Amino acid sequence: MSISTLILAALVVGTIFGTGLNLYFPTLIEPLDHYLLSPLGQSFLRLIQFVVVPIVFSSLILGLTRIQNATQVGRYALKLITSYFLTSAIAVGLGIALALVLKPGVGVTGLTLSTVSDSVKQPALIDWLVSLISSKFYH
Amino acid sequence: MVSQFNFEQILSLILYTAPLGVFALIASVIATQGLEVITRLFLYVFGLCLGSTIMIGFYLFVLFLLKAKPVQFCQSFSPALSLAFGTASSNAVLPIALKNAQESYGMREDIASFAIPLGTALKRDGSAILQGFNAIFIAQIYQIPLTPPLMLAIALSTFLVSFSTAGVPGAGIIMMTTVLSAAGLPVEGVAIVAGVDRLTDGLKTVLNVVSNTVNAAILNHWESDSQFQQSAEQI
Repeated sequence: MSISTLILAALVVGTIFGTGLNLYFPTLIEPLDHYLLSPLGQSFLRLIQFVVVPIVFSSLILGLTRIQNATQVGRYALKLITSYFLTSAIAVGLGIALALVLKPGVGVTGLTLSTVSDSVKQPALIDWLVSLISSKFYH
Repeated sequence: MVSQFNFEQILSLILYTAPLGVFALIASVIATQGLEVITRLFLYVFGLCLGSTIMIGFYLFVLFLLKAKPVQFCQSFSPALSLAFGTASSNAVLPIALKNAQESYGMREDIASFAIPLGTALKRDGSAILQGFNAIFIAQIYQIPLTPPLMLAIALSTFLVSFSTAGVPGAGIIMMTTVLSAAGLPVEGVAIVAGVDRLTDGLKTVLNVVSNTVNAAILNHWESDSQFQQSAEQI
């Protein structure tokens, strides 16, 4: 059985298990999650994230040294960024269009809406643009 | 190289423990949050899943048009994609995606080690779809009229935010407040969708990883074509 089938199977089993716990054994959720499920899941995530930074760093360096000449890096980056911009624009358009067509928020009842603060100040666009630039190398 | 050898072992360790880790993550989320929030926000969840699926289909179609082996793409990246769905963290998937790209898909090493980390940091179509869709959803709930200036603000902020979201689960919520406040929409709306965000994060992360790897594959395809032509001209 290939590894991705195993992972998908684990997803299905986990979903069934979680749903079963949630519906039929609500009292078991807190201890089971706190002592078993959360620690297992979080440790797994942390293991991967611990490894990610060295791998990324070394593969970036290895990759950059393998590129034949420096101009190629610029060309790769330019092509990639152009392609990113085009496809992101399509994605943004798709998300907005879907929301306009499906109208998921129209006529929704039964939600408690917290009172909207009266002063919804529009932040200056330029300040917001600057704040987008992440100041930390690694979150 | 010695360090590569150790990384290989660590990657194998990650892959072999992945089923257990993913089981724990999903079971934890669903047990604590429950699934009934999905029934209340069904159209929202459905719309998000539909958007992600359409975009993934678009990318596979582009691969097909370029004759860049879409079927082999799906097969070789399936460990990375299933891990993405389970962890909802594109950062976590990065080393596996690199491995899949070079070993199974046959991407050139210099392109893969450059494009895939770059894409993991910058390229998130899943986020792009989520933020735009979510902002309009909140405007609809609060019955705020969707004027052209508002739509423009939503589109622009979504576009920019999709390049700067962190690759960890739950980052979407933080960026939601950014997009909403940039467009002047009530930030309190985030509380409505927060419950369902983790559940939709899986498919969204799959799209993030797909958008990243497909762009790398497209670059790989372009570059191998031109290299072939260059060496042909030299003969």
